Amino acid sequence: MRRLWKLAQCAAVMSLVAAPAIAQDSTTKFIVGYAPGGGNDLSARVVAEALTNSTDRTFIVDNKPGAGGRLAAEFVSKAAPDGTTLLATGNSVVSMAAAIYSNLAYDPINDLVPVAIIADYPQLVLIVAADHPAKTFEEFVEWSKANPEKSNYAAVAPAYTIPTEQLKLASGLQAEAVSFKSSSEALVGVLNGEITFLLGDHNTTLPTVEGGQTRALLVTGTDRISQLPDVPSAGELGFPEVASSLWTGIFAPKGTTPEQAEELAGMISNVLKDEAVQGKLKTIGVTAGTLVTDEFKVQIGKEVEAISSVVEAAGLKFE
Amino acid sequence: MLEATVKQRAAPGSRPLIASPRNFWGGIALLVVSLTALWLVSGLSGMRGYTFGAGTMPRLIIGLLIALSIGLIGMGLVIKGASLPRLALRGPLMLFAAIIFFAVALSSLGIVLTSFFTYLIAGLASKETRWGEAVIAGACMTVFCTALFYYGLSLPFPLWPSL
Amino acid sequence: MTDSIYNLGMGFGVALSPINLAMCFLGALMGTLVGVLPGVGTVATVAMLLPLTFGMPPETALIMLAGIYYGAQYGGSTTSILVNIPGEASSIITAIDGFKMAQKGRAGKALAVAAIGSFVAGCVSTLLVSILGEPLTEVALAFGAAQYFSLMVLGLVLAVVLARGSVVRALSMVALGLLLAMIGSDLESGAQRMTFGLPELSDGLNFSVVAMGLFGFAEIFRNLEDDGVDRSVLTQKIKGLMPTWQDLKSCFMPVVRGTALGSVLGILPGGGATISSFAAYTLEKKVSRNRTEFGRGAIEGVAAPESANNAAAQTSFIPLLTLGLPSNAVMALMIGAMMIQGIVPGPQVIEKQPELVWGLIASMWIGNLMLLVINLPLVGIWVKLLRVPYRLLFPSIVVFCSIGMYSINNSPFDVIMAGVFGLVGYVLVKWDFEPAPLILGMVLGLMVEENLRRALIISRGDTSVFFTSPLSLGLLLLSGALLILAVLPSISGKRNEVFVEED
Repeated sequence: MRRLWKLAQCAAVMSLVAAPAIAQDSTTKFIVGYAPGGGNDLSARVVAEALTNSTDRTFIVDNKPGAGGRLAAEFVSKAAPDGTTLLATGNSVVSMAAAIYSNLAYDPINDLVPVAIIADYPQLVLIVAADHPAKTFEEFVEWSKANPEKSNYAAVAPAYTIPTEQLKLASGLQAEAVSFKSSSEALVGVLNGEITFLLGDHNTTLPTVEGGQTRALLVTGTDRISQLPDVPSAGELGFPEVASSLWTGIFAPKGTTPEQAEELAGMISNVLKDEAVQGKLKTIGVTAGTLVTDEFKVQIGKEVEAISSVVEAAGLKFE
Repeated sequence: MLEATVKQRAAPGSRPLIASPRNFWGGIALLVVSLTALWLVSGLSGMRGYTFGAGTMPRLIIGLLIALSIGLIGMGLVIKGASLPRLALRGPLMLFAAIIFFAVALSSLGIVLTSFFTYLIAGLASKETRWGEAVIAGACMTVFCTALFYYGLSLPFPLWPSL
Repeated sequence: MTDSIYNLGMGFGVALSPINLAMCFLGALMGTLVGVLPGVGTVATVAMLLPLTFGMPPETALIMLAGIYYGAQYGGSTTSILVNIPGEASSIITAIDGFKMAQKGRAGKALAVAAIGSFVAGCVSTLLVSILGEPLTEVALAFGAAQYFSLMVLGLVLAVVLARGSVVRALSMVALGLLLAMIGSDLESGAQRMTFGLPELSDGLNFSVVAMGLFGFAEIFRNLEDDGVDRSVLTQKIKGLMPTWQDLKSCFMPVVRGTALGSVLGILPGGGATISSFAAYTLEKKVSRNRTEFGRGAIEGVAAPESANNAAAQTSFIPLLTLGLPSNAVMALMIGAMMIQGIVPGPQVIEKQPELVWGLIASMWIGNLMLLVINLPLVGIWVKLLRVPYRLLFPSIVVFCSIGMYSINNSPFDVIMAGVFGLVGYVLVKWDFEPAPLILGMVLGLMVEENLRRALIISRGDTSVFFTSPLSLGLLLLSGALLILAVLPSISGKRNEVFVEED
């Protein structure tokens, strides 16, 4: 009986074997080095969808998490430069990686061709638990100097750690770095009192500020942010160099010609000018990017320099 | 849950050196694994003050494992237990071969041929395999898996060998 | 209290809309299938379906994704019982007694009890989530690094205690598991640990791969020794598909206890849900009248962990709903889905968008009901499948599972590793070493390290922090007590005369 059923299945499927070959050539993949749902991933998906709708090619997102995003970078750096495999990733894998890691499996500057920035991350926010005695940033720095053994900050990724160390150097803030795998775990740490403060992105920090469980003490950069009009910026407090310029960008493998890069950049720019796309990006907490190809490359160069100097000054070690 | 033991009154001169070969040799095997692991992590940094280095936790665990292996060796010498197990050859090894074949062949032979031949190689593991039956069942299984994984779930492996 | 009832009512209003019901069903069904298929993981499936959710209203998207999550728990338990392959960490325990039951022809009862126990647990924990959600979040926040470390230690001790046979052997397996967990790159420094330079190992050993080898493949190897003469499955006639009243009566308290433990432990983000099934099993083993049967096919040994893991699956939504914090990777994906919909998860979601939260909670209950409806009839089909002559069945399992293993990372390496662990599992059992403590050690290893490290940094090297916190101290004392209780019989036993050693 069982065998008959299996034979019937065989017959049914045999007839499907003459299936059309799946057309793989007109699909472009954005390789994302993180698990789905993260900032880079979501931005890439929004743009991929928009590109698929507005051009005659299909763009899909393929996640290859590992080694903090660097595995995907290595993968794309070695891929064929035919425009079908692109990398969607953030500074930590490119400019930061170039400045802080000495034994990378790829060369972030020469093995990856910058195409365009698709998302700019807004300024980072420094939050402490609501019941922390310090009410302003100055008070906080004083407190940390008086209580160095109690002062800890959550180190989630170089993207946040480096501005934090910059802030420490500039303001005299004392704090020990405690590693966390994700921003949400870090947030739990702040809420239960183990971690004194964290410098994080809007999605991590703003909800609890609005909910009253945490208090924001400063934002990086020079301007205040609209969601927190009463919170001073690092620039106002005297540390304008404490700024983060996080982005998600698209890169092509080594060997991609400048013309190919320009073409891709053009397509991406068009899509990023679309209001609907800009709106979608806003809902995930980022703004549409603007820099393309050469300007992008220059930006990366600037970042590498800035980061290297912070790393040296603070004596940070990354393996 | 009781570690049960059979205690014999030692007849003079006839007491074996290794009372429980399983414990003894198991302990030795674990000791070898521990020492190999220790060597493998020897290059990793240790503790700096109160911060763990990359090698700290592994070394802590290896320490525990070494202690336990020595315990097992000790138990093996003193407490009587079962003798070494008889490990079968044909069954497990043929199956292992089938699995390795699958891994190695999939990207070059494609899912259809690989599944089919893996089925047959696995069949070699059992004396009870009837070959006529196995070929049909193998074909059906191949069709089912191809339909499910390649067409249904769109998993990216080749269908046929690339020519 | 009346507030919660009102809210729950509103939630049901949302959850019972036709489209939400349909998506709930679809999610539960897909989740079950995903749980049954080896290798195709829950996270991967949810990721695949994420784009589909962009077009749906947010409640619908979340309801479907949640359905997949707890559906996968059921599916994982199904394979644990039928073919000794745990689909998820929480199903490892179910495999211990569940598979033994299947071997004795009682697969139907095991599957049914797993489904029923899970359903009851789901109902109770859904109620808990709605009524006690906010206060329970405080419990979650009471756990810092030191407390988590002590909890993990308890988990490891539970892994030792639940094994049959020698404590020293079980401990060595746990330690070996911990060591295996260390393989990969160090999260803090990125240094490669025991990876032999292989990039495939730089993210460590994959749970599914090790579980498949150690349990699934090893079982097949075992069945085919003696030069391939089957000593296999189903040596006894299948005795009835459904549990009898007697069976259900004896499962009542295990389900209650499992639900209680699971509900509490599930709240702790990260480690809690994993430990809930082993805690429930061990508790049951200690208090049950039937304790000698545990490990040999005790139905309570299936009921307790299954209830616990489902209760934990539900309560692990609490940190997500009250604070916007994900307890595991699937929930992190759900947060991504929420963000694309424009909802930033956080404490205000429950105020600003109550339909979303309560609709989700109500749909959990509905989802559990659907899972019961889907799975009970399937029991008959699964049992029929087991009737296929083993000589035809086992090569099918080998092919099927190999494809599954390959599909995790499109990597032949994973298939090879599964095969290697198959051999390892085979040898271990022949040598009287149990594989369950090994894989449990592997699951907990990195969490143990992470929390130990973190606790020491925060305390600046002061080890007393583990003992000054009452919670941490309590957990450590409990671990110590359990361990001593486990070793005691052996020590006093040596003074007695003759016992029979396990063979």
